[in-house]
Amino acid sequence: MRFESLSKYFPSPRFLKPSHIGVSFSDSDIKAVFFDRTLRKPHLKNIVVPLEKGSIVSGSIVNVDDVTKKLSIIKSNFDLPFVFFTIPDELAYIFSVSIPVSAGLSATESVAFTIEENVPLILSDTVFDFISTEIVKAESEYKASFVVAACAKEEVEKFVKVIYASGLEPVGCIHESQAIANALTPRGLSEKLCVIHARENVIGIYLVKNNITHFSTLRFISGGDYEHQFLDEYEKFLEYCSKYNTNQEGPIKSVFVCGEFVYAKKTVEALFNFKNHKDHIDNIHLSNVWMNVLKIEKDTPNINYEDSLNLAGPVGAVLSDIV
Amino acid sequence: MNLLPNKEKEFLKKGLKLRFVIVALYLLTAFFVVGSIMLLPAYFLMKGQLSSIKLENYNTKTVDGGSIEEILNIPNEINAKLKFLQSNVGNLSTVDIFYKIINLVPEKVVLNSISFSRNQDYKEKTGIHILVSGLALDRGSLVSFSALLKDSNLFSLVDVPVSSLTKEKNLPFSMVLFIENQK
Repeated sequence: MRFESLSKYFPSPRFLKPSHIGVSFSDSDIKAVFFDRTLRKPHLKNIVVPLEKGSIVSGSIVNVDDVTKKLSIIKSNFDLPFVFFTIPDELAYIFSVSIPVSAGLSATESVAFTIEENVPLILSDTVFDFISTEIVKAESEYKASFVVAACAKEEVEKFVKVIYASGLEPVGCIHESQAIANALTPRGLSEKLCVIHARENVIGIYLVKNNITHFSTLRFISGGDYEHQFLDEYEKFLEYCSKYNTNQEGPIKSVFVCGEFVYAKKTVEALFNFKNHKDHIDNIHLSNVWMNVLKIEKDTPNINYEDSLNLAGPVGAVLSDIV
Repeated sequence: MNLLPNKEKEFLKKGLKLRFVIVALYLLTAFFVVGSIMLLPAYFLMKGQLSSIKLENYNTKTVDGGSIEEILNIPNEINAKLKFLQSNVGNLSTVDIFYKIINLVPEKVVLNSISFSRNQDYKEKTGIHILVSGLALDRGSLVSFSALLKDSNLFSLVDVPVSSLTKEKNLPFSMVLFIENQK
């Protein structure tokens, strides 16, 4: 933003940049978190509302009425109407592109041309946004690298519709992997990280660099050995990372694990058992979702750790900027 | 990053603009309210001073009422005095009358005195009574002097006593000139 340096000293009034509830949707429940991110020790408020089976299937809303009803419960629990919500990983596509840029050339248009090459959707049915990660001079022109997130427009509109129907007002939407990265990775950390979002039936593994999710993969767990299935996916993830490590950025330094506590613990154990692998990473953490909210060594949050581990998505949504 | 559809983003921008306008209006209102509050002490001070000045003026009026009236009456007074003077003078100054008489004196007539009195009654008339006395070398000069005075049309009456004409030469005389007051 043009006035970033000024806004540091003259922060926008809250009315211009309203506080918002962070909401994340999964197949089993809706999680909502609210705290005032301008305070050093904010009061944390959360609610997890279970959904009827089949209301959301593979991230997509099926039972509009049930989701609206459950969102109304969330509305009645919070005093403010603004919602920043996450799109489930099942619906989001994340990819990186490098495109020539020059003065007078719209980056949005250039990125739009690459959508259909990277996403199984037609451009008119897609909503997308992007973040530039690098600009390099290649011969006579400049090339910019972007991380692009895209999603089916129809799916996002379903979420927007249920949010409005429940009396809330959407102010932003972000893919869940980015929201989790916002919550778990310390601000300004430039090293490459792996973030694992472990749940009962699905595990998300994300590659995060400079607080931006560059790549994500999902593994649906269908019975059998949880650890084995996770390690299988994790190995593929590491292979991908080493294969596409074109910028010689070095290996992944740390792994942050979040999600449902039982499965997060299983995942950490599996990672320790993985130590004989050539790509083993020593620095493995069960995450602190309040990393960018409060200093946990000084202030004890009023939500217990086991529960908070599953709130990385909504916490990251609260931490996301509207503009 | 914000994956909301463009339509929703437009709503967001409109909402932001609306909030900005509202915040600006609030600030403007606050500015006026604070400004008004800051002006209040000055207002009350001025009001106090104004009331004390009014009180002072009121007191001054009662003390100096007579003198103000006197001052206001000066033009009327002057007017009355001027009227009085005009009525007395009848547009003729004493110096002018003297000047005209002296102008008409022939070579062989010498004036000894001129007596001038206003508002005198003479032969049932009121006006300026002038008594001129002197010495005429011959009778003819005295007659011509009295004739010149009559012809001047300045005097309503030129009275030369016959006794003044008894001698042939070096005859002393005293004549009455009368100018009737204008009505």
